[in-house]
Amino acid sequence: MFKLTLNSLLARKIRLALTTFAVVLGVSFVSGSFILADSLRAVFDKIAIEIAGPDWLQVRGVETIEGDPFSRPTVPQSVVDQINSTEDVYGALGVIQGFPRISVGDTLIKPLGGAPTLAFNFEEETEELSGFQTIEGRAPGTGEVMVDVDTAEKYDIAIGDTVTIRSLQPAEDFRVTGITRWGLDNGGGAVFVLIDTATAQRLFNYPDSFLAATVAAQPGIDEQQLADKLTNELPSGFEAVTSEVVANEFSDQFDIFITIFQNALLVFAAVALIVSAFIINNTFAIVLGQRIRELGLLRAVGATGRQIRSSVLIEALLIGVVASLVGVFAGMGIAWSIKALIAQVGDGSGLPDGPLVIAARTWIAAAIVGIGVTLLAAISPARKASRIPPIAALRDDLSLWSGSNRRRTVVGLLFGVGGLLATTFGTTTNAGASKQLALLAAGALLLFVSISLLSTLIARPAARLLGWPMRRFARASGNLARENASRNPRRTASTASALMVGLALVGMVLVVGTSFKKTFSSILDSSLGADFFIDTDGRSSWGFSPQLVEEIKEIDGVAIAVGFRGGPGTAQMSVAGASKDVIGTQEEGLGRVLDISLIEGSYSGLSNDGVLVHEDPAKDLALAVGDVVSATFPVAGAKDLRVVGIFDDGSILGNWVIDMSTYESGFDPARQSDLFAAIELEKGVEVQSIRSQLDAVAIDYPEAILQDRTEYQETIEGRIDTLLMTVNALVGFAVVIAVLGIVNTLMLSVFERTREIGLLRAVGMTRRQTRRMIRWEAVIIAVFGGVLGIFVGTLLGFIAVQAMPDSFITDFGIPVGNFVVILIMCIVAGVLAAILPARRAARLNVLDAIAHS
Amino acid sequence: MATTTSLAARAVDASKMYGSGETAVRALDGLSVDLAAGEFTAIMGPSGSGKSTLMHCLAGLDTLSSGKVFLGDTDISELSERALTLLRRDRIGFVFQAFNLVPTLSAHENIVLPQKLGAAPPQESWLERVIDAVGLADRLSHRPNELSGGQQQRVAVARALAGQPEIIFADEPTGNLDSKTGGEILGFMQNAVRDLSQTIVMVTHDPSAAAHADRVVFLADGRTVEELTSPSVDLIFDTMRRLGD
Repeated sequence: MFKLTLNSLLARKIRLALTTFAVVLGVSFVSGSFILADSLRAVFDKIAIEIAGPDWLQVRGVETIEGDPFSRPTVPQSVVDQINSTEDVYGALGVIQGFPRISVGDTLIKPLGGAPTLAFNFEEETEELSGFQTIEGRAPGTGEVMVDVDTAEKYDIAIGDTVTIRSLQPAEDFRVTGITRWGLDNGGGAVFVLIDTATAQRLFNYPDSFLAATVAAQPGIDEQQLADKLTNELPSGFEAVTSEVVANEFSDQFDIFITIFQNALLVFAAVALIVSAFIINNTFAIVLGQRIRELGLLRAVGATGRQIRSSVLIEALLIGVVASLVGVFAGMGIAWSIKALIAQVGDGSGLPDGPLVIAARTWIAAAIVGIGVTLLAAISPARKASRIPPIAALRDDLSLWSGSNRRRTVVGLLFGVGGLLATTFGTTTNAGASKQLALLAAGALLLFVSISLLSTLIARPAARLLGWPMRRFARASGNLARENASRNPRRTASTASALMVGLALVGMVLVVGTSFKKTFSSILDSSLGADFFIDTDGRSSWGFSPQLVEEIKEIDGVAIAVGFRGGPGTAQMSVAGASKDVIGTQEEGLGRVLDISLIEGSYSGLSNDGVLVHEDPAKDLALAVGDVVSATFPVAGAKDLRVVGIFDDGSILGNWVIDMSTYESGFDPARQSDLFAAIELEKGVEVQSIRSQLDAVAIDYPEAILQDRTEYQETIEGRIDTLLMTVNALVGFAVVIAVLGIVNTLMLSVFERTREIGLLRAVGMTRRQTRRMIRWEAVIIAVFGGVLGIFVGTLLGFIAVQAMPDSFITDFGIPVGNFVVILIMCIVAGVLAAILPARRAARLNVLDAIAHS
Repeated sequence: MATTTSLAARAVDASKMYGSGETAVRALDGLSVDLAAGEFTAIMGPSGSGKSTLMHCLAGLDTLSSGKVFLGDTDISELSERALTLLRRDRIGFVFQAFNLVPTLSAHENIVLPQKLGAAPPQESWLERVIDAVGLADRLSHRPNELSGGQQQRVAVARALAGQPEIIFADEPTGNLDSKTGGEILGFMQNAVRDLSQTIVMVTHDPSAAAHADRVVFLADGRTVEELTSPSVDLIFDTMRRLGD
């Protein structure tokens, strides 16, 4: 029986290759996700070890808010002195790390892949403790700077040049005195400069103190013991940890990011796999349908139903094994492509380079996924094949798929109801994000299967409807294409369903994106009254210097300029034991330049330790205007805030808003970046006339982008579009697999209709007409898939928009233009998918085709 | 319209080889035959005699290794693949043994298929006459799988006639039918030649089918070996037996 399986596999090489290819694509996305994630981990682990430095201890403040590294108190000079005088300590060095913006002339220096721009303090006499190595020149004195070697090379900076550093203070120029390097290969894409300690303390607001201290032990001293000793001896609130601990902490931080990234990729991989499963299932069904007489003959000569079933499953197993193997290698290509895609979207900045890592886990995952999906997809065709009666050998009219339409309908409807229930429940339950997401995913999967089952019912009328225009302009070929597409509704429906899955997700993403744009547009109209907006460049959350808003306030004609502070990263305070994102701003201008729709209370009193709360958390914590909330800040510690207002619109500022003074005292000096600012002009001042004055100020802050209302709207929409494109490029992979499914189905159909095509050719159908016939059939299937996909995508998009919080999305919009483009692309995809099958049909040898069997 | 004296098709010194070298098979061996217009010709011969090959080459479905084939005055041995296709569509009708009809098209759509593919549209009166003659007026909207084998063959004959082709080739048209139904089809083809002035060339190995023809050409080993005019079944049997010895 095994030999028979093998023979039957080899006898159908093209079909086999196409089926295997579908699995390979699915597997390659899974293994590509793992390969990319593992490769990134390997690179970042190396970086983490380098950052931690060789065998040094670190002394630092203990986090006042657990899990927020920004909440560590600074280390005063006195503590550094105490460490230096401790026995067994070779030396201690106070370290300052700032987040400046650095520019050369008018060019802002941009790090790779969202890495930070950093400034450190550096003194010649403590170089051996710093981890920096001077490559050229000398250490900086006052008004001088060293630049890292990669940045110097990339931006063509030489000793003697001037660079501008902006921090919390106004911009200052520094003369380059040297080129430096961190560790062996200069870290992971971060841009950094070194300045003298006194200047660093002044620029980054560390009066006579440091972020942390690096400590080297005397030779032969056990690090761990010294760390314990220092923790004991130092004043409370400070701790000493080994380099290993520091490296692990960095690793863990990177790992969180990489895991999120990997899981996002795995979601796309799952989509690709679902589509593959549809195609494999369809292919097996068609092929077995074509082999029905052969299988009947086997049954007639004594093969049992069980043997037939095993034979089909072994075939699936072999395909799965081969596809998994190939898939892992194809996965390296996928990993590479995703990196290229990210570099493309990221405008030149990408993920750090490193060798591709194929971990054992990747092989195992590929095997489980490839073999599992293939076997799963083959189960129902195998079962049907095992029920073929021996009489099938002698009869022409037996079908594998007869009489199950009612069951399909019932099962399809049940799945559909289940899917809708799961998604609806997923949007309304409070079970937590991961459970909600799982419910939504399961619901979407059920919906896909349901639509695929039910679409069989409408495939015939749909194909006739879609084929109607072809009848007009492609005449006989169009008419035949239309008939061919509707003659086997199950096949047309399953082939189209594979495309439906991919396009449904594309459609959903587009619906959510469009809804978001619509929401933003109405926010701009109703809530943002300002004339100008200042935003960061969108790729980083490092924010811009608060100095910018201060300077703009000085310009004549500016009525109000309001900064919104909360970066870099996301500022969080702790309320009732939970971390809350918080934004600092000023009382003046709220409600005018920016309206967050107060329901209760007023904006006044914000400056006097007040807080504005969104109605949702206010409801959860039972807060009313006048109530006092105890909030804990990283620097200031616990502080009582009085609720002055409760608001409705959380889409711009989030849920918690405090005054700038509260923010400044509550957060680390390193975390004083504005994320956003709004400017309102005095009455009668023309937007055009003041623009040049504003630009003159803003040009010194290349990290900030000043825009009027129209520009701002365009920028935000452009950003949404970029995001949509990235997501859709990844989902597009599933669409490619689905198009391959169309190729597969058509190849098999052409094979099956050999005699019919031969007859058509004999009575005068030209090769061109033959190609056209196949082509239009493909187009009908593809457009049918497109229509289904858009329908399901809109449905999923609607559910997703309902599921998202009001602070993110409120309006619902349908991207009609995009949907038209999708349908046009379906036509193109159909035409492309038909190339190979159409050629095969046109090249058919007429004599062979009509020869008597 | 061709007259009874002109030739509908002819083969001149036609040879066809399959394969090459040791395994080469000579299907046609310098065969020449004239097929008169307005005549019902049957081509007979044992398996491997070359009768199917001859028909395929005459009909532009296959090409000769050497020699010439004419359809009317057109030398079709020189035509391109596309020209041959158009020739089949516009000037030739076909009836095959089985699988004559496109399963997705109705009987009527099958009848006018060559015209739908681009041949000149049939005259309405002619088409009505043909449909009337095959007696399918009430089944025109049915799909092939809703028709009996005999009805399917009648639709095939109607299709071959619809375009008023210069010649109709029939390849064992009754091979899959019982003798009564087969007889009906053959009678119908006979009428088409007599009453509708059509030209039909039929390949068959069935003497009773060949007896419907005006002329029977016998092939053996790729050559014509015998000819009979308006023969009886017995005469055909005798000739076959004689040639078989």
